[in-house]
Parts: sequence; structure tokens; C-alpha cells
Amino acid sequence: MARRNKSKGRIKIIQLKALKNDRKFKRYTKNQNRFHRRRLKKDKRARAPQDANPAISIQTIKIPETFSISLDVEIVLSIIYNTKKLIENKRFRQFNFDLSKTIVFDDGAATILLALCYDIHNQNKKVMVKWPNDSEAKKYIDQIGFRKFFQGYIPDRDSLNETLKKGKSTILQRDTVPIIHRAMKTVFGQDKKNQSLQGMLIELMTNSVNHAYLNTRREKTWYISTRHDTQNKKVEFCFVDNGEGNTNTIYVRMGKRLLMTREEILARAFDGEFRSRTREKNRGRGLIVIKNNFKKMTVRQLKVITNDVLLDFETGETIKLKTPFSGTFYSWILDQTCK
Amino acid sequence: MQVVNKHSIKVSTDFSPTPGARVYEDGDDSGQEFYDRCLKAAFQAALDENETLVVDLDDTEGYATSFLDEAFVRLVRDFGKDIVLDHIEIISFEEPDWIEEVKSYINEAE
Repeated sequence: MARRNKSKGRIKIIQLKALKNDRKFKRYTKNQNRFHRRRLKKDKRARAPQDANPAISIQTIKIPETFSISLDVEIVLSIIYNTKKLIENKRFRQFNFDLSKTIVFDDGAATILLALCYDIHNQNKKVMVKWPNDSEAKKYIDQIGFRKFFQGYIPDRDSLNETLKKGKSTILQRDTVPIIHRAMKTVFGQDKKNQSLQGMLIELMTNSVNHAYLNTRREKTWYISTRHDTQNKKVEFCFVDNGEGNTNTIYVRMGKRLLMTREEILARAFDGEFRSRTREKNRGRGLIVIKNNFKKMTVRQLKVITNDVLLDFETGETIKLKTPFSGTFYSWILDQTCK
Repeated sequence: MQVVNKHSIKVSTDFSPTPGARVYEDGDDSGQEFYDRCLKAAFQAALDENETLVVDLDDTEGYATSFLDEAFVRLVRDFGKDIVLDHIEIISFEEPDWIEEVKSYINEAE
């Protein structure tokens, strides 16, 4: 009897243990289910449109009559600055640029605007453009090839203008070769190389990729555009990146030790004062090369806009701007006076 | 009679007509790649025979300072400044400034 009781007791213990294990397992799966359900809810919320009202999610940016870096740099920069602020807002998913009233437009402004459109597009947001009503402005926009980046436009294959060459986190020195050769043909009538200009473009691309973007998660993009004026044998170049800007990166690198204005910083940067972050003697010659190219007359009318400073190499002036430009913009021309 | 140096490299034909920037991460045909693929072995071969290596910079599309700097500074780091200066000759008829520029990179290398 005692044996039978003992074995019954053992069976009970085993049964209880099994039940306990079973419960444990059940509890675990329940929790897991709860967790899974919570995750599903979260995913659903993420997938759902953030703002059901399309009127709020679309932003229309009106471009004024004069949209030109050379004529009114402040207006261009304020539009770019305000749009960049809006892009940061996740609610806005579509940007409509209204150019209907624009009459005066230039390459610099077009390049900056196109670079901005690309950045908006890279953030999975939609870009729409309302084209100018003015026939001359419309013609100019067609000439510079601005429209080819938007739906429904068939690009002119014979056009010399390179509206935009885009680089992503890398230096594309092979892609700049045909741009330079075409420019040399327009200016000097010969399809030939220009080693100094090629070197300068590599330095610009290197600066954008290695130094302009402090936030390494962002896509490091740069853009080059050219416009050929065959009548006057002149080619206008623009180079832009939407990074932090030269003076900002120098401020971050040098910290509190810098006790000078941004205008001074930019002017001195091209003289090689703030060289490399690695502090190696040989590094950080890029900006010096750019200035030397201007001195040697490889290029003319070189201008730089970065943060709230405009540096005009032709006049040697540095101008403090009211609106900052987060990024760096270079423009110059290649004409028959260039060596 | 023209004496042809058997230890010579021409960047445009032996490496690339479109040299790039400093290191591999910067993109294709960097100075680091030029050093690893061409310059190091060619310099070693010239050194083994106690001869001079001639580096011809002509006929490319153009150089970034970082390309030349990286290649020649690496050479100094591996072989030493004095040995490099004694066994290298730079040719650049198209941009003569590059000769002095490269020599300054070698002299300033640490």
C-alpha cells in the first residue's frame, strides 16, 4: 500500500510539474503574442499616412519674378533656407515650386534649386513644378535643361548644357572629363583637356564628400552644372553641395579657439590657414588649389557662397549675407581670357 | 643616342588617364591605389638595382593634390625620405609646377 501511495505521489508531482511547465509555456506564448500584437499595431501606425489632410502635407513655394544669384542673392537664399526648414518637417510630403511669375532666372539659382529638388526627392518626397508663364523665362529654362528632371519632358540630346551632374558620396573624376572637353571646345574651338580645371573639380568633389557633411548618415551629394554661351565663347560653371558649409565645418573642427568672423574665416581658409582635421602637413590643400586656379587665370569670376558669407575673388570682397545657406556654392566662368 | 631608363612609370598608361583623389574610399583610381598597384613595386625594383625610378605625370586629364600627396607620402613612409629623394625623378612637361609640388610633399612627409 505504502509503495502504491508513493508511486501515486510521484505521478502527482510529475503531473504538477508538467502542468506548471505547460502554464509557463502558455504564459510565455501569451506574452509573446501580446508583444507581437503591440508590434503589429506600431507597424500599422507607421504605415498609416501621417497626415490625412493633403492640404497640410503639400507645401507650395512661390518663386518671385527675379530668381537670380547675381541680381538678388538674398531672395534666392531665403527661399532655399525656408524650404530646407520645411523639408525637415516630416508632415510635408510634397513640394510644389511655383515658377509661374518668374521672369528672370540664372544658372546659379537654377542649380541651387535643382540640387534642393534632388534632396527633397532623396527623402522620398514629391516635387512638382509650375512652369513660368513668361515665354522668355520658359525658353531660358528649356535652354539650361532644367525641365528634363521633371516628368513628361524629352531632353534635347544635342544640348551642350550639362544641367546637373550628381555625385553620391564619391569622387567621379571620369565624369567631369567630357564636361571640361565640351567647355574647352565652346571657348577655344578645340576638344581638349584642361588639367588645372580637372584638378579643381576633383578638389571640390573631395571637399564635398570628405568634409561638407558632418552628419555621416546623410547622403553626401554634390552637383555640377554648365551653361554654354556659344556666341560669346563662354561657359558658366556652378558647383553646389547641401552640406554644412565651409565656415560651419571649420568652426566645428577648430572649436572655441576661433575668435574671428565668418567672413575672415572663409577668406583665410582659401589661404590655407585652417588645413586638415588630421593636422598632417600635406593635407588640406584643396581650397588653396581653388584660389591658385583663380590667380593663374584658369577660371574667372570665381564666387563662393557658404553659410552667411559671399566671397567674390574678382573683387576680393567678402559680404555678410542676411540669410544663411547651409551648403557651399561655387560659380565661375571659362572664357577666352582664361589660360 | 637616347638612353631609355628601364625603370619608369607613366601614370596615364600604366595606371589611369583620370587619376582620382586620396584613398580607396574616395572612389576609383586613388593615390593609394596608384601606390599599391604601381609605384611601390616599381620603386622597389629600381632600388634593388640601385637605379632611379622615373615617374611621368604627363598625358593625364589632371591631378588632385591629394592623389600625388598620398602616393608619394606612402613611398616616404615605406622607404624613407632620403632614399626616395635619391632614387626618384619626376617628369611633368605639361604642368612643370607639379615637379616642385611632389618634391615638397616628399620633404614634408613625416
